[in-house]
Amino acid sequence: MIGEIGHIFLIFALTLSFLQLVCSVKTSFFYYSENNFKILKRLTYFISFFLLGSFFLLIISYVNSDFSILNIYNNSHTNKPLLYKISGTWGNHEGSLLMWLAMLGFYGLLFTRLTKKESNTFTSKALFAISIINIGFIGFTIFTSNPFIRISPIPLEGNGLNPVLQDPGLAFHPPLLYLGYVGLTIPFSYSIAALLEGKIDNQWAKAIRPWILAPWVFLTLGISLGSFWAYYELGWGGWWFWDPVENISLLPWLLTTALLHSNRVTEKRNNLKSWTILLSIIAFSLTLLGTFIVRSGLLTSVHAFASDPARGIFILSFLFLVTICSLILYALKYEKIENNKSFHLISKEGGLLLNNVFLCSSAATILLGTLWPLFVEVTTGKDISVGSPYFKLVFLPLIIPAIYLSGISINLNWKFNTIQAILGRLGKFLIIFLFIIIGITFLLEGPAMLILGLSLSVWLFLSIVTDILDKIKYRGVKNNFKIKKLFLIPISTYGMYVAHLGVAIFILGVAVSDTKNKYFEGILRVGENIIVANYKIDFFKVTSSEEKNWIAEKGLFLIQKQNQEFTMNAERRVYKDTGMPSTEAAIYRNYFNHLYLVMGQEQPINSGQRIVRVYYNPFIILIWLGAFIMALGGFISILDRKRGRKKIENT
Amino acid sequence: MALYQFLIEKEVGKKLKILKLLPLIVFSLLSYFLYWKISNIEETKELSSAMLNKDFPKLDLKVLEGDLILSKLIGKEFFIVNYFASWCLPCRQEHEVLQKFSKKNIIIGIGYKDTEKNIKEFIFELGNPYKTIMMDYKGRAAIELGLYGVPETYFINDKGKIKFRHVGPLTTEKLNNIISLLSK
Repeated sequence: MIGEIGHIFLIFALTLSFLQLVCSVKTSFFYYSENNFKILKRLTYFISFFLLGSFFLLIISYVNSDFSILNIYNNSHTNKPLLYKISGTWGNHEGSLLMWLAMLGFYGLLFTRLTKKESNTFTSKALFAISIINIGFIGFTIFTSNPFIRISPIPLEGNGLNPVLQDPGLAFHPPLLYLGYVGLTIPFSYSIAALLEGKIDNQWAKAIRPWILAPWVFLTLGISLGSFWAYYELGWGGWWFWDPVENISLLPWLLTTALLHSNRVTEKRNNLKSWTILLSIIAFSLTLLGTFIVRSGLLTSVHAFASDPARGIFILSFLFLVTICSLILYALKYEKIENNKSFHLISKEGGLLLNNVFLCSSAATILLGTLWPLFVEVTTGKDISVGSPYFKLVFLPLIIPAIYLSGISINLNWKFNTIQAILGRLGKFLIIFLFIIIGITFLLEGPAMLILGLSLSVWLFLSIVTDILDKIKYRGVKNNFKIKKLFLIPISTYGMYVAHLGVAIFILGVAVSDTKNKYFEGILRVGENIIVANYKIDFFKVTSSEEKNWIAEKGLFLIQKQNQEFTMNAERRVYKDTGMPSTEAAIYRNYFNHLYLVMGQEQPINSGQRIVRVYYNPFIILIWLGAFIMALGGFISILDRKRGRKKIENT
Repeated sequence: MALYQFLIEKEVGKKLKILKLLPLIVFSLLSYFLYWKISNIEETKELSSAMLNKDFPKLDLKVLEGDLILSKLIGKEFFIVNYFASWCLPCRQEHEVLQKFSKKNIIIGIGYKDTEKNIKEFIFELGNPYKTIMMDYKGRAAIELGLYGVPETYFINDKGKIKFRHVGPLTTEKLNNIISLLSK
């Protein structure tokens, strides 16, 4: 019964979306009246209600283990803990699409609720774009991947959820990521509405900013949580694998980051307008492209869903329709929106433009590397895979200058900078920077990449400090700072500082953990020991036990370092319902460093020898801490309610 | 210093006009390519196995049930190898088709990423069309064959060569087509 209601809700939502389309076309292009607009708003609320309700009902069915629904039979099991019954809802293709829809409804609701009254015609144009996206996604769900389909006879037990997915990290990774992806719908709709109106100004850029920041925050959190999950669950000891699906999820993030920066120029200088619009269209298209690639089975990866070409064709047509129409609209209105004011290269907007160029080209290289195997397969018939050496080779040279640049851009003025001004501001900064770098080079031994990474991190950090000091200084008087001035800096600027600080911390983590890690892989018997990075690791014993839905083999390791002593438990699980094994890495944390231990299967059986892998990853926590701080910075910026009323600074 | 002066006074932003049509063109090409690729997936799945016309490998897998030995069968008779799993729904669908086919032909079943208990229950529930059932617990042998997914079926002629590979559930109609194609 609950399943049927959910199904009907979905169908209602689709029908209402068509009405929403008709109604928004009428109010935006033909005849505007307050009444019509009210109806349009109500329709949007109803659609949101039905979408959220439908998703909620599927969750309820999962909790009740209603195996008469095919999707639940395929992906759930009665002896799963409650959390994984719930998270199982979005651990599969159909359910995750319904979650996508629920979030679409949520954003639609929020958007309609928060828009101002004066911009009603604008809002109805944005709702026009939203209604098309609604129809596309709801239609896709109902016709190709309906989660509410029944089976008969009703099975007594379900097939269980893939064990690697039974993890708290994965329970929250997709919802966060989807909040990011789906959130990009709003900047996209804003851009379409602006193109239709043919008018883009500072006000528009200000209004759109929180809608870019929110998805960016969620994407940052979602991607880093996913990476953290891969790190401790997959047992490979790394945190980013350049897997196609990871790459595809990184693309919208890079584009949104670029968008945040170009939007700043549009907001403050009323420039780069068409570029901002183009970026928001492309960022949204890339999420569609990502969906297409993941769900159609074009590329295989650890994340691949059950694939089906029919689904691929549907999303591809939708992707094509939406993107081509937006790009045609963009080309038509190009002259109208862009005034092509030129500006100086050495200025904040110049720096932001260059930063955009680097970010977008790095996104392009990742897209190319990810799709390259397909091109090669089509043209030569060979199977190749593009792995991390390529990405490291092309991505790093593009992203490193972008980070150096951002350190400078923070300290530049808008419009124009004289040599004296720049030197006066950055002179000390450069001297301190060089001093620290030379110090690091002499004190630390390590490869060039370590020094480079550290210098990036220091550079960013110093640039933030200089900018703050500069902002609180009395003009004209040397070394006279006034703490009171700290309160005059807008909250969004603090958000920017925090986000860039996050980047600095992230880079520090990457540089140190990548170059200074220690690694052991080999066969160990119980009673033997090895030494990794000054830790003496004793393989003490293996015990097996039965847990709620798996059988566990626990390897107990005794660790000694100087006068420190502790134990670590590496686990191997075999899940009862599917019989699939999974490894649980043991991680010992010491400040920012990790000792990471994975125990393999006994091979051959009863021989007492196992493959054991030990990684010592210094500073690795900073990677996720940095990402979290970046997201925090974005969040702080969203909080800046005064945006728009404040006098524009530095002009 | 002159360079610096040049940089500082250099103006940018006017050349952005190429951005008007470029994205449209790039995206059109990309989506044409993706469309071409995805509409060809069906065919590539059917025929482009690297194993086509090669000897069927003498897989060394644990025999769960049955007394027909694979390595002795290869090169003697026509038979098919069917990869299946208890957790795979399409496998249930095609099971009836295999039941009928097994009256006149030899089918070897390989359980893919599954447990012995589940496979036995599966057979107990739906009947056994297989002369021999073997277990590919972790899918190692599947890598050798280039398995796309379960169910998947290989047709091996009496010379021991793989003549056809079918991905996805078999229907009686598809099976008849393949057999008539092979007998040509």
